[in-house]
Amino acid sequence: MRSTMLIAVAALLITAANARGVDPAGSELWEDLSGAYLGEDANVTFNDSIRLMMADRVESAHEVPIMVKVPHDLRDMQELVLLVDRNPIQQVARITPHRRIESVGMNIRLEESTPVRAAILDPSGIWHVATKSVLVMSAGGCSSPPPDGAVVAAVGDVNIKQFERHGGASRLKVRIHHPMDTGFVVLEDGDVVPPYYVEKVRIEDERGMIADMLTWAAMSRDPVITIDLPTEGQSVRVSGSDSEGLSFEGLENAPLM
Amino acid sequence: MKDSRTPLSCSRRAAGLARAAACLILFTTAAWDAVGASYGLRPQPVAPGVYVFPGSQDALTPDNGANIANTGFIVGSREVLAIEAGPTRRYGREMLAAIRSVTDLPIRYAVITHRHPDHSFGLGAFREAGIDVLMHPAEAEGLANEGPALLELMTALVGDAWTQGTTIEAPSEMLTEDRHVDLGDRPVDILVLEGGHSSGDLVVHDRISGVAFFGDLLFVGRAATVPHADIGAWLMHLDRLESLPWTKGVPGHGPILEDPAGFADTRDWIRFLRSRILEAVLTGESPAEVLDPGVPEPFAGMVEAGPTFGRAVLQLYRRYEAMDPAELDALAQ
Repeated sequence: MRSTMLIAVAALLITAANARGVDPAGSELWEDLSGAYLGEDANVTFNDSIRLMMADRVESAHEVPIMVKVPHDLRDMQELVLLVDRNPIQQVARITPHRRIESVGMNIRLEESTPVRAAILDPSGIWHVATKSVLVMSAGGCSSPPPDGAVVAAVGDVNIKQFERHGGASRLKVRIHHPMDTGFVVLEDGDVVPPYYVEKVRIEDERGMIADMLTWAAMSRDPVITIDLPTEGQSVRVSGSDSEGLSFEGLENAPLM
Repeated sequence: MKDSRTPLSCSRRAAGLARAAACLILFTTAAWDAVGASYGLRPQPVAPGVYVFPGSQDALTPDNGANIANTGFIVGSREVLAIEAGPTRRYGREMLAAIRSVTDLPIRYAVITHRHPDHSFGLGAFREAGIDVLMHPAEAEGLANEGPALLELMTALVGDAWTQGTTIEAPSEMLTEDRHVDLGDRPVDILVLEGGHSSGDLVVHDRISGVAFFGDLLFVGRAATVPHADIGAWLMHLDRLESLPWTKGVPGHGPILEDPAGFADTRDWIRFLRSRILEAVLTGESPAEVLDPGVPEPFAGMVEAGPTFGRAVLQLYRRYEAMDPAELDALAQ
C-alpha cells in the first residue's frame, strides 16, 4: 500500500518534471524562462538531435555567432525560439517558418555566462529544446557600449546574399544595418541609451513567404540572419520594422546594396 | 522603470573589460598574493654577450604575472641594448637589475618590438632610468590608445600586486626605417617590418653572434595571435627573416630556434587561419560552424590554440566579410 503510494508520488513528480523537462544545464531560471516564452503549460522535451553550434567560451559578448541545425524530423516545425537564460533580454527571436528550414543562424548578445536555448515547436505541440552552456569571459554584451564604438550609418539598409549548397539547396544570409540598442547601456554622463531595435522581419520570395520573425535587442548590432532552404530562393525580399516604426526593405541583387 | 532594470550597466569600455575580467578571475585559481612577488628573472646566455629571459608558455595568470614573452639583451664593449620591456613596470625594473648582474655598462637602448602588453607595458621602467626606448610610431599610437583598457584587463587577470606602479608610457624614439647601432665592437641591426603581425614590428639582429630576436613575428609551439595582422604581409616578412644570416632565433613566444624548421609553427598556422576563414566567408559558412569542430590537427596541441582560434576566427571573418570580391580574390591568390 505504502509502496503503491510512493510509486504514485514518484510518477506525479516525473510527470511534473516532464511538463517542463529536466534542464540539462541545471539552470534555476529555466522554469520561469520556459513558462514565460514557451507557455505555462508547455510540453517540453530536451532534444539532443538539435545541434546548437556556438563557441563554448566567448570573449566578444556583443556578437556571438550561433547556428541551429534542425534535424530532419523537426523540419516541419511550427516555430523556433531562441532564448538566453541570464540575459536582461532573454528572448532573442521567434521564427515562424513557412517552408522547410534546415538551419537558422544569427549573431546574438550574451550578458554573462549562461545556458543558451533553441526551442522548436513540432506540429503536435511539443517543444524540443537544445541547450548549450557558454562561458562568457568578458561580460556585458547587453549592458556595455559596443567595443569599437562604431555608429551604424544607414539604419534599415538590408544586404541579401545567397550561397549554393549541395544538391540545389541554398543558404540565405541577410544583414540588417541597425544599432539594436538594448536600453541597458549607460554612457559616461549617466545617460541611458534608449532601446531601439528591429522588431519584425519578413523573408519571402516569388513563391511566397519563407519565414517571418519577431526579434529583440538580444540580437547583435547589424544582425546577420542565416537560413538554410532545401531549394534556392527566387528574387528574395526582406522587409521589416523597428521599435520606432521605421519600415525597411531589401531586395536580392538590388544595386548598391 | 528603465532605471530599475539597469543593474548591469557600466559606463565605459574599460570598466566593462575590467568587470568582465574580474568575472574571469572566478574561473581561474584564487588570486596569487603577489606582495613581494618577484619574476625571478635570470639571464640565460644564448651566445657570448647575448642573453634571454624566457617567458612562460602559459596564458596570463596570477602565477606568472603576465611574464609570457621572451625578452633579452645584447652587451657590447661600450653599452647595452635591451629587447622588450616585459609586461609590467615591476618586470622592467627587475629586468634592469638582472642585466646589472651581468654588466655595469650603460644600458643605452630598449627596443620594444610592438604594442602588445606582454612586450611593452614595462617600458616605464626604462624611461625612468633614462634609457632610449625605440618603437614603431603606429605601435606607439596603438599602445597609447589601447593601453589603459588593456592594463585594467591585465590587472584583473594577474592581480594588481604585479601591475601596481605600471603606467602606459610612450617610447622616446620612433623608428620607421631599419636602423644600425653599434654597442662597441658590436654592430646590431634593428629591422622594421610593417603591416604583418602588427602595424610595425621591430626585429633585432646581432651581427657578431648572429642571434636574432624576432618578436611576435615568430611564435614557436604557441598559436600566433592575429588581432592586427595582415597574413599575406606577415608571410613575406617570415620569408625575409628566414633568409637573414641568423644562428639562433629568439621568438616572441616559445623556445629558441637553431634552425628555421620552427618557422613552420607560425607560417602553417596563419596560412591555415587565412584559408579556412576565407573559405567560410566565400561559402557563407557561419563563424559558429567554423568554430564548432574545434582546432583541427596538427594545430590543436599548440599552447593557447583553442582561445586563439576562437578570437582569430571572429577577427578575420569580420575583416574578410567586409572586403569586396576583388579584394577577396586577391586574398585567395
